[in-house]
Amino acid sequence: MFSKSIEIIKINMKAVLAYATTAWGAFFMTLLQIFVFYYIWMAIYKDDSIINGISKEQIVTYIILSRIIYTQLTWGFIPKIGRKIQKGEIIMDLLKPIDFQFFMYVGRIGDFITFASMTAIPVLIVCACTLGIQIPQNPLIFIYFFISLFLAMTISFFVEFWIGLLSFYTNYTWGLQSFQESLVALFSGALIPLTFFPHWLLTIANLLPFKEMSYSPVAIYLGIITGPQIIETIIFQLLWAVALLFLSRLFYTFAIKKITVQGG
Amino acid sequence: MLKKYFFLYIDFLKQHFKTMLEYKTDFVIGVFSTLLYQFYGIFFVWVIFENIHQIHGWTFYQITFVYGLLTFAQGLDMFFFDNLYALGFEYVREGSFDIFMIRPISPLFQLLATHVQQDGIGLMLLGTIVITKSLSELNVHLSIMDHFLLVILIISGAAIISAINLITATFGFKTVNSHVIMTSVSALQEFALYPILIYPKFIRVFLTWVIPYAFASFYPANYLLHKGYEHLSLLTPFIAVFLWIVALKAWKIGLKNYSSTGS
Repeated sequence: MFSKSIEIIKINMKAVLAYATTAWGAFFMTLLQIFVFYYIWMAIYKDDSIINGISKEQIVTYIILSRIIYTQLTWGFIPKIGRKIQKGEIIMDLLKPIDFQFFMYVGRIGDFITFASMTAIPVLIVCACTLGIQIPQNPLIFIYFFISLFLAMTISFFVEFWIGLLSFYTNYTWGLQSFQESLVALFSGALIPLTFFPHWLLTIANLLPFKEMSYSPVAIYLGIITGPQIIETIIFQLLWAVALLFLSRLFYTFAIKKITVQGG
Repeated sequence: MLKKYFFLYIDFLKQHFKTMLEYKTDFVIGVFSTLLYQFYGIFFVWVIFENIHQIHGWTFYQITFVYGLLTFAQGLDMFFFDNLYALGFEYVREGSFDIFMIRPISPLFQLLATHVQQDGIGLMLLGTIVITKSLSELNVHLSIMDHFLLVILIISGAAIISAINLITATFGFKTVNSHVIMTSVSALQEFALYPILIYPKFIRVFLTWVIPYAFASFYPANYLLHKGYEHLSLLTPFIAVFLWIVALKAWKIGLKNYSSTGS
């Protein structure tokens, strides 16, 4: 009995260690990208203290927060759904007495929490010590920020779920993952604040859900969005979440009929 | 000997493209997304130049030139050497590396030839466009000698990237998570996408003498645009050769100490 327990603990430790290496990689990469962008932005802000309504201090915090969110948004959830479809595991999930989409959503939140504790917080601590992070004076802002962040993750999940289901048709997910990554990179404002976008691109970005995944929470945190606009932004995020829920359900019912499991 | 390996490589390539055709849609999406993502990097630089006119004496097209050089080198490396990433978590862990060991061909060759990464083509294409556009906008006219040098410098840049990847890949013989080490080191290439003058001194020294990615973009660009560092830039091919000697040595040591997982 005892030796069995030890074995089980060992196996779990291995899983945690394997995860720790990935988390360490994510930690290092996120930090590295923050530093690259920090130096570029500092070169841009060399002669000005405010550009396009964003101050030098704000841009530093902007880079840190949005880079962390970007890493989490591109964490590789699509291959997870894809693997289920490719290996036929989805059949087992469909038999479970729990809704498949809800099941995946809960898993996504789990990923988010592990990411927050193993990658996001260490990165934040290092950045706060080296580059400095702005902290909002009003504690209410924190609450708004976390609500907005939660909605951001939910919106991101629906989009990932939808793109992931496309692997019913393509049977392979690598391309789909990079597709999602490039859309997020371009339109979420994760790499450049939307206020820097040229007008035509801003118009496109405003029509898409991607800016709700990163720009909105960060802008609330930094006070780029203030006053009644905060509530408006959150309601707008909520509407996106509901709309995407319906769209992804619709697509799900449609795609599931098409299911061709490879040898599963 | 070389001829044998050449024809073998072609055979491996054919096999690979057969598999690829099975996943046509995904391939198209993949190449398209890679292009879109890289376009984003250029877009970033462009947004910067909406606000300022030069960074540390470098203008927009000079910076895109640096960007294009590295992008091309990355594409070249990615096309031929991408399978190094899979050494730890796929070949060693699943035991399929043992198959390479019993065949009378170099295991390294087999590892590389088994999989070429077609997305590298997209990067090379984009690199070519960006390099050409930058040079014409800058009114730089390269002589035949300069063209020859440009090709040598780009190939050397790619060789530097792949040699460093080969060194970090040998960790795959020890840990199945070697790709994390590889990705972390090659992520440093991000620094080399821009003129390294924007970084503090220790990063510049690091990118020149420790993990010399600056030789895949910044120094060659300096030479071809006559912006300085002439002697240092010409070291590029020698650094590439030196790193490859080190990398092959590291690979040999890793292979010697490799023991199969037995699965």
